[in-house]
Amino acid sequence: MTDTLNQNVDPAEIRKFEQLAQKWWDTEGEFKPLHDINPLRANYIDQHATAAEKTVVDVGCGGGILSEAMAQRGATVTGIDMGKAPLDVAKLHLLESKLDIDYQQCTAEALAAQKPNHFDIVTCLEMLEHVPSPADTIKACAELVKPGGDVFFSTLNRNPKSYLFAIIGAEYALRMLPKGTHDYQKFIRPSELTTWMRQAGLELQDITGMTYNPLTKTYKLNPNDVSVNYLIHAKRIQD
Amino acid sequence: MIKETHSGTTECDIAIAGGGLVGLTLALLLARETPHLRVTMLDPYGLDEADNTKAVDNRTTALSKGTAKLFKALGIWPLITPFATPIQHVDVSDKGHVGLTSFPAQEHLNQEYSAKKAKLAQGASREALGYVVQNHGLAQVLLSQVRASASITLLPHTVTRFTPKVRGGVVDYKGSDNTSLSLLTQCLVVADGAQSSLRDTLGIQTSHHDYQQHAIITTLTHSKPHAGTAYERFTPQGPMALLPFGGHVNARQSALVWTRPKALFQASFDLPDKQLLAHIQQQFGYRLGVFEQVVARHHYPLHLVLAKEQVRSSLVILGNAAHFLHPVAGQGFNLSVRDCGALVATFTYASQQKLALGAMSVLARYQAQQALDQQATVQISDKFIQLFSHTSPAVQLIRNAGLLALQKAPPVQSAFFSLMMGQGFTRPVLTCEREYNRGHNQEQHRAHHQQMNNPQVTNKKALS
Repeated sequence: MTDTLNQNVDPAEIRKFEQLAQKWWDTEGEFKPLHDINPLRANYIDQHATAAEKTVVDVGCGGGILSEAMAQRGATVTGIDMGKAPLDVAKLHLLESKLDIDYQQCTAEALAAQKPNHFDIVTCLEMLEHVPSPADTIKACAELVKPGGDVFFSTLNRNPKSYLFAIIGAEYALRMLPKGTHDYQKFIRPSELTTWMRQAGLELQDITGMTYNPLTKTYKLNPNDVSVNYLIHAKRIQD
Repeated sequence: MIKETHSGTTECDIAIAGGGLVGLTLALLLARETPHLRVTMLDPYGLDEADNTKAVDNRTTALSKGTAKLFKALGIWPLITPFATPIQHVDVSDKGHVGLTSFPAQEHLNQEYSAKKAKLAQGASREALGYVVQNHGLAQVLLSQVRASASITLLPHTVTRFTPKVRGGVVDYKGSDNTSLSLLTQCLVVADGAQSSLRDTLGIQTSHHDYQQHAIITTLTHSKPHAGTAYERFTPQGPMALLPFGGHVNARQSALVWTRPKALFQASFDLPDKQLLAHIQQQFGYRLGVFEQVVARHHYPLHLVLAKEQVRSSLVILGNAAHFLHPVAGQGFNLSVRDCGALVATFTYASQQKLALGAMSVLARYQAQQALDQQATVQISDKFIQLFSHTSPAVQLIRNAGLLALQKAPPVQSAFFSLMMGQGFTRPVLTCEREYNRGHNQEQHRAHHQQMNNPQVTNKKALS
């Protein structure tokens, strides 16, 4: 049972993040872009689903950047990831931030089997492009959330522009991300994501893009441009 | 005004952590604009007048025309003027380069020069470019006004934690006997300074640039009146600002902000008075005559500190906690006052629309309103410092050309200073400002009418 539940994992992807684990909270290092966009996406979630006094599961939590931001906004947070090293870093960082977060090494599918209909909010950001079967992860997210609850996804669109920006631009030209962070083939078009969402019983509420201005070095949410990075808010259909 | 709830926790609409100049300005604006909102201000120091006198130092702040106008609209400007010296001229120069208006010996000998300038400044009714105000005096005026405001409660305590709730959040603070108390608020404004520990507790990261410089701050007396002139002088070892001080244009004292490279500041700071005066004299020249006395010195390291987040649900980071700028460009406080104005306008809007004061959608409006102003002001201030700290010949050439243009072309000068004084940006007009403008216009109107009527009166007299 657990074997099949844990199948939706790419060992190469896990290794990639294991090697970078100790850099996770270095705000000027490899994960700088993630730190920079974090307040934007955390506020987006908070604005659409009010995090305070809610239970949140952060799927693919890595070193806990988003998990901590949600806890800081008053949520009770569970963070799950398949990489042991990032989770160790996440746990260690709790000593510094003095927050209380429950970190577990498991897949969304495995947690959904244990705790179906359990969470008020499910967040699954910058994660779908790293798993072999995004549709299964989306289905698991839909199972984790309570009926009527909120689910958030973010990923990279798949088109020539996103290839240019996210791979050539971010990894090679601007060196914002380590080379090999992303695999273009795994990028997901919004139409594909929303199809999988519908199949899982999730209803689209909002979609917004995230754009980067290399001159001011700032990110902003832009509902009119989902061509590269985008964020989706969905609700689980009431039973 | 503080309301006890059944659980023993207290409640308010807006809590302000930090009772410095920015926190006090915000509290006072709220008391005037939204007197129905209950404000609680928490600060372990400064709120107690006895403590306040202990903290006296001679630090000063440059107030822009806009900031002065806001204090006028609040009706407290007459109370501030005893601590404020008008800036009538700004003199920017670069030591040892073309753009420099050199200080010839004759000028030192020419006793009439500054006296004439002082007369001009006094006689001219033109509005000051800005003001130099003594921090301590300004804080006292603001504090006494805050104390007199019925909607504000002052608590001499430190905020230790903030826990967001579905609506608003809980502010934990430490009482005087170390007991833990809490306060329920719709929104917490964090204004506890550049080193804000609360900001760090909240996990808000900062970007940090070390200028590798220390500011030496003191007050100098000199043999000639400053005539309301502020001097910005750029020496190869860092910028030096001398700001007119002493309450009027004939005063013979100026506030010095001397920025020295990290490795060299200690040696300058430790100089005996006489040597220090001679050193400054050599760097600055004789425009203010002979420097005579130097009073208590302070120094602090210079950084550009920017909070990476300023707004969350029920939370706003304000003042130096949000953006701490280099003091020589004189931008920090004025930017924070504009932030205060925009934030109060946002709270007024939310309260009229019956929205939660701390709603993300409400606070996002504030952030959107101020983003451009903040970005531009930070850039201008930072580039200004970089430009004048540069020693490469190419940069010096451009700089000197720029200084020449500034000296020769009044329109360029006024554009430069309105930019430097943060006047390029608009924010929503507050009720107190609207009323002040209306009163001001009526006064001008009346004066105009009197002028129009008077000739008739004299004509009639002449006729009769």
